[in-house]
Amino acid sequence: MFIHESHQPNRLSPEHYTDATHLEHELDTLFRPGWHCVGALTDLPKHGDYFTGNLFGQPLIVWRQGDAVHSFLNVCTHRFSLISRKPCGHFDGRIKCQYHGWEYNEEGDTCQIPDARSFKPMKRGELGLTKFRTETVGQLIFVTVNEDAPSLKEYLGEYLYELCQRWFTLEHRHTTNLDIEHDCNWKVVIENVLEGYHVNCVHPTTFEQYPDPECCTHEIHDYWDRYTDDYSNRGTFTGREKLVSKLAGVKPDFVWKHLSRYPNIAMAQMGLFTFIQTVIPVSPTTCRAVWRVFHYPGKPGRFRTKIAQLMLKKWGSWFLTKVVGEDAEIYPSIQRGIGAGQRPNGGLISVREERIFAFQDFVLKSVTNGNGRAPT
Amino acid sequence: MFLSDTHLPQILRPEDYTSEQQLQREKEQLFLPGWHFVATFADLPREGDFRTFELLDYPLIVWKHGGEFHTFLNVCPHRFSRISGADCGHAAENLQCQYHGWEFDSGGHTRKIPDAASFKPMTKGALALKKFRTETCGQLIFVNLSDEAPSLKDYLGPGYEIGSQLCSPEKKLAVTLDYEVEANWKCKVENSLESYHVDMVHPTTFGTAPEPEECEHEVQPGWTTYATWQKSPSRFDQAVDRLVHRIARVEPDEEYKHYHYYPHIMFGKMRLFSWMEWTIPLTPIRTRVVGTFFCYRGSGGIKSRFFTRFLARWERKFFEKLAGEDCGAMARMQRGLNSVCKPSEGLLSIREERIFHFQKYILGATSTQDPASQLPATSVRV
Repeated sequence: MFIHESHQPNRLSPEHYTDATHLEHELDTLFRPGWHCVGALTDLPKHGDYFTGNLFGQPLIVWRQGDAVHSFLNVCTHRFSLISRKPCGHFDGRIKCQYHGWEYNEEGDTCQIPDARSFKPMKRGELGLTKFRTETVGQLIFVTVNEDAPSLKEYLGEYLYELCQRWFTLEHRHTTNLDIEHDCNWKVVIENVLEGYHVNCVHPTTFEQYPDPECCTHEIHDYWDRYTDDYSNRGTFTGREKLVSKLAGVKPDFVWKHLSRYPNIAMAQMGLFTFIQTVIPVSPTTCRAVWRVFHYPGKPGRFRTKIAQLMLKKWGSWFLTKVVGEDAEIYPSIQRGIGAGQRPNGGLISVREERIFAFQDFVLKSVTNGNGRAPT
Repeated sequence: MFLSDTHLPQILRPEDYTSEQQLQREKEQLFLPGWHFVATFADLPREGDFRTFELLDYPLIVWKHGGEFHTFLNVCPHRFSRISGADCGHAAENLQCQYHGWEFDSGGHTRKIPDAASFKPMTKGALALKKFRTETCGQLIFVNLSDEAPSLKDYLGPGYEIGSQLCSPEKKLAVTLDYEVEANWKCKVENSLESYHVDMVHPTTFGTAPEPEECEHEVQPGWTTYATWQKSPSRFDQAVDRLVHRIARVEPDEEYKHYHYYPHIMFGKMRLFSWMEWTIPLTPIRTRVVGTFFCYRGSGGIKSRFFTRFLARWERKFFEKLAGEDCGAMARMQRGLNSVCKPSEGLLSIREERIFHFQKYILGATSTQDPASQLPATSVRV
């Protein structure tokens, strides 16, 4: 059942979805202070692997050294070239800039400067890379651009942090990665994943039908929420799930769990699958959604695990790519309507969509209070 | 003959063709209260067809239902998604929003809301699509974004009757040309108001501009017309013209006539052809133009159908070429207007006097001051 008994008003205006100064304000109060999942250890399988990315216009390089992961601004201190232009690669021992070959260690300090004499006078360790705080939980790599941010555990909260540890263990295998740019404001994507009401129209062949209220529970906290759907009475997924659960040696529970840490993190578990989705604004009318999807095929080394692994990987990436594609198709259309200068009377959030109301409340309060922490 | 004896001054300044503020004033004073072309009957042939389009930054949807045309803001009252993202489509019974499946009838009222219980409390009919007035003239569909504006008939005045005749449903739609011009919208309008550029811009289509004795201008507060009776000097063209009229069994109408209803709707007729042109600004230096070109439709036999097809094909080719030639000329004119430094104040020949009256109208409609005080000092006899 749902929490509210009556519908709630929509609280954001067209400018919230189109205005550049508004986005700048959101970046300052909601995004830059927070932690963002930029990838997972499966993206960096070997010691020395790196990938590059972008966080709010700042180029990023994420590099694995042993079990530790380091993130730097992907800009060389010499003449500000990108250190690496490749999406991913390998640096043995030291990061080396592609332009003049300056080298840096895991602290970001300069180690070797070709023809260093021609830079005299220069003090040792004077020119280090800008380093960002990086933490891992389970397989997930989180980065913050905020020096004074609380720890990741504090940011996610005890419950979500522990959930990440359980859902994204090293035994979870990588299903698929998606990194998609959408032509809509970042809030359009978040609001879309916070409700299942659009399923009938947008996902008629995948999710098919939104559930009865009796199967659903909503739990809303000040900076995160939780949604569960008990689908044990619906045949769509149960048969398949019974089979793979048996192969993996796990008892199925037939409950879809979807949680979100406002403003921009969503994670979910369904059967043996888990995923985390992070939405990063790019401009007022574009954003990037980064997905890391995992599955648990069972204890390693068994024949059954191999079968389960094959099935889960294939089905999981097919299903998710299809669902995400269906949503991506409709986002520009929502953006055009939601950002139109004129609106009809309305703007109703049904009790089925009440998580959106909580999300909008969080956005408004945080932007007014000027912090990305829990609004009071 | 023309109305004025002497040349006339340019009333509008080059800035009026480039500035964002002037365009804003024009949008508020002229375009938001005005009527705008949406589609022809041929664009929505079947009951239930719809089309989506953008007009002055409004996303709109026009839908044929119950034999009538209905235009709505293409925004759902639920959570403001666009109802349809497709350019065109079909909705036989109700319009359905693509996001959550809300359904609306031809009045814009909500019909079916999936899982309506989760929206309690809600009064029936409390939420509706925003509907705009839609009217037709001949086989043209027009929409108005303002609730206070006069009806299309009053807006066009005598042009309503002219448009109904020239674009009547009996005519065959030869082609709709929908294109963008890299110029201010007034460049497009002014270009259509004078025949002086014909020799340079349309040497192979229109040939030469007619003699003053063969021309007539009429100037009224809300509109102007231009008529000419000059025949093509080529004897071959004259022979073809006679032949075509004989096949069509229509008495030749010698008059070429062009009608301009302020600010942005024009009609024209030439021999067996007639047309409507509608202009809408996109940015100060970018304009969308839609022209619908019609031709005589025969009685319906095989020969007559073949003949109509031939006429329509010729008309399409002729006006496509003409539009291409004008597009280039207007873009070049805009680049001149963009220039920081201008040679002089500019002037208008008596052959271009309709432009003078159009500019006077623009100044009066968009200026906050008394238009007379802004006129250049040159004495003007009209």
